[in-house]
Amino acid sequence: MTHQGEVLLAVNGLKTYFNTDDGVVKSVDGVTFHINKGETLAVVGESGSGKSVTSLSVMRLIPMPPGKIVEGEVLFTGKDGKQKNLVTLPEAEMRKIRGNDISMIFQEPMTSLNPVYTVGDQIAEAVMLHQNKNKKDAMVVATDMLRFVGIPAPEKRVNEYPHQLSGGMRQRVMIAMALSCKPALLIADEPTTALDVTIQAQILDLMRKLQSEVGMSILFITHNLGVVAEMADRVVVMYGGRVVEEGDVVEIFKAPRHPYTMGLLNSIPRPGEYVHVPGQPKGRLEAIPGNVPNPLNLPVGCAFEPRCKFAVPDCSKAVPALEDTGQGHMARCIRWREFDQAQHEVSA
Amino acid sequence: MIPFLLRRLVQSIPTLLLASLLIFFVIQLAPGDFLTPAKLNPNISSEQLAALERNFGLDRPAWQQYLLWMGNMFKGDFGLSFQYQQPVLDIIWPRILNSLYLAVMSLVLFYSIAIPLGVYGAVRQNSPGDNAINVVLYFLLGFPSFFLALIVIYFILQLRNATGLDIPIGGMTSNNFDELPVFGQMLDVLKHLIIPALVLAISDAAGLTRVIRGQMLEVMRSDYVRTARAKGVSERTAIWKHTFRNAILPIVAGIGGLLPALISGVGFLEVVFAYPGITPMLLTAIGTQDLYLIAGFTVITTVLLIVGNVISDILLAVVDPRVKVA
Ligand SMILES: Nc1ncnc2c1ncn2[C@@H]1O[C@H](COP(=O)(O)OP(=O)(O)O)[C@@H](O)[C@H]1O
Ligand code: SF4
Ligand SMILES: [Mg+2]
Repeated sequence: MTHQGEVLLAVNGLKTYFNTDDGVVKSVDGVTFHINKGETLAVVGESGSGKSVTSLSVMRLIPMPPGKIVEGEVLFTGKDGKQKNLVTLPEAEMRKIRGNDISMIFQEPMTSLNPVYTVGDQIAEAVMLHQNKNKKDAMVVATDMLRFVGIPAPEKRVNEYPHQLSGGMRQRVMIAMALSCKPALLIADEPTTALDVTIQAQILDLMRKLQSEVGMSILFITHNLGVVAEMADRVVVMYGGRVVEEGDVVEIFKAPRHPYTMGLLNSIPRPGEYVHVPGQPKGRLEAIPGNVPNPLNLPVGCAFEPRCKFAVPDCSKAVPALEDTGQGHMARCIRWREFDQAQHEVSA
Repeated sequence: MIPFLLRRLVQSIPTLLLASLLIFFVIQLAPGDFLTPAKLNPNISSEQLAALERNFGLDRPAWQQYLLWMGNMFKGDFGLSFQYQQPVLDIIWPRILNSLYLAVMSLVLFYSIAIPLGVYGAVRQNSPGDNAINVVLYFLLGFPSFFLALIVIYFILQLRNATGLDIPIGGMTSNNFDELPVFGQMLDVLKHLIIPALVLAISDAAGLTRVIRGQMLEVMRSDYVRTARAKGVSERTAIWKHTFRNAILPIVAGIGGLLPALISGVGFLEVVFAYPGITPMLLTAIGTQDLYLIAGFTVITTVLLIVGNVISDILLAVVDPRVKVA
């Protein structure tokens, strides 16, 4: 499925800041990554590391003010084959991309659908906007999409309101809505975090199945590395608004080069098993002692330094560079050379 | 829908009974009665007085008067006004209609002031326009409406003197009303309604504008509005179809609770603007202890309040699919 090397989305040096009463919050501070056509890229990191702000910046849905994309570019090749910089695209052009070329599903299926319109109406709205269809035809598409995402009795459900559906069903509706215009990129911001474990697994299965049918790329945001193993080809690890490690999923699971990634990996039982551990809390990232840094007041050097057990005095001098460790694997740590697989297992 | 209406009808019976009982006996408790002035008049003989008492049923105990009145009311007979010597309904109904015109007109103005201002304030939060509106609203919130009415009357009088324009500030019709064609008559009434209705609307709109602005700001931050934007909807669709439609839900739910304040607000303006609504008549009736007129008015107002509440419940069910009306 992967068209190797054909870049769909390239985020370069993105900086998104918020002006608050307490000062400038540097939520995303120079993030670079890309997504190839047909692949799934996971973005992982603890809550507050800037994942949502990154994805909303791509969609240009950051509330402005207080937010502002202060630097960087987002190069995207739409269904029309033309490459555009979404940061500078006029708003009217951007609206044609949202929901059509790039669509998005969110963490909270319970609140992400408008309570006063039927789910059919809400899917049809996207179809009418982007596919030049009248209401009647759009409702037919909506029904088809509900069937496509595995909702039973779609002819009946299409006329129901969100409150009549369960959380899992609503997330399926969100997926139906997101895929109704056959986007090139689906951004899924923690789509299963709010769901219980069995429903989580169903939604992930559905997303994988639909991806193979539609052939879109997925930007999959999660704070759970276990899910990454199941879903993604490549992974970007974010910490304090910056990318700290990036690479192939297999490679990163086998030989992480950043202590933060090691901590994340150690906090899951074993890749792939996360769904089969009942009674365990969903986020297992608490295993790393300490908290994410205050984005108002990031350390001068490595943002992970206060929590890092490998920290040395040099770590707090300057922000370490994101360095290539070989085979497209990148890490932002001055000691990455010292971490081979053995050391990770022995000392972490 | 029909079962809902029936249930509301049954539910309203105790309310009505209680209201009628209360008002009837409160009036009875007051010292003297309608005939007190007659009794003090030396020209009226005691035989005449007794005859009057019998005619009005005032010689019977209060509970008998009440039961009689209730029984008649179910037949649509609200009793006789002592003062006007006419059936109560005939006298008060046209007056109540006049009051309703004023109430509806001021409601319409009330919402057409508060909604655009509230939405604008939210969409352009902290803009100079929003700030200016907030200052004016803040000022209006602490401003007693009788004072506003007086100021308005004063300025219109000044305007009339200065420009010679015929801006009506009292009554409901012009002197030449009877000579006007039907359409002209409607326009004439409208002209008389607009100033008092506007005064009432403006003095109340400040609160609602703030509520709408706050609601809009809250819904604008909601997940489903973000979903709508992620779909690629226009700014206008995001604001009106997705935000406003949800922001007004608590306001629609509150319409029923607004009615009593509306009635008293209208009553007040009727007095200030010499408008032929029900309130001036009612005040006289209270002064003269015109028992059946007061009681009849109270019952009709209670019925209207119940109807208003039912309408607002139905409205809420229409705008919010989560609310069931059955
Ligand atoms: N509207 C906003 N105003 C101020 N700060 C914000 C806003 N949105 C996000 N942030 C800040 O940006 C940082 C990253 O947030 P977010 O991207 O939501 O994290 P994640 O999705 O990784 O959990 C947080 O510190 C958050 O407080
Ligand atoms: S740079 Fe230093 S503090 Fe930061 S992750 Fe590497 S070892 Fe730890
Ligand atoms: Mg998030």
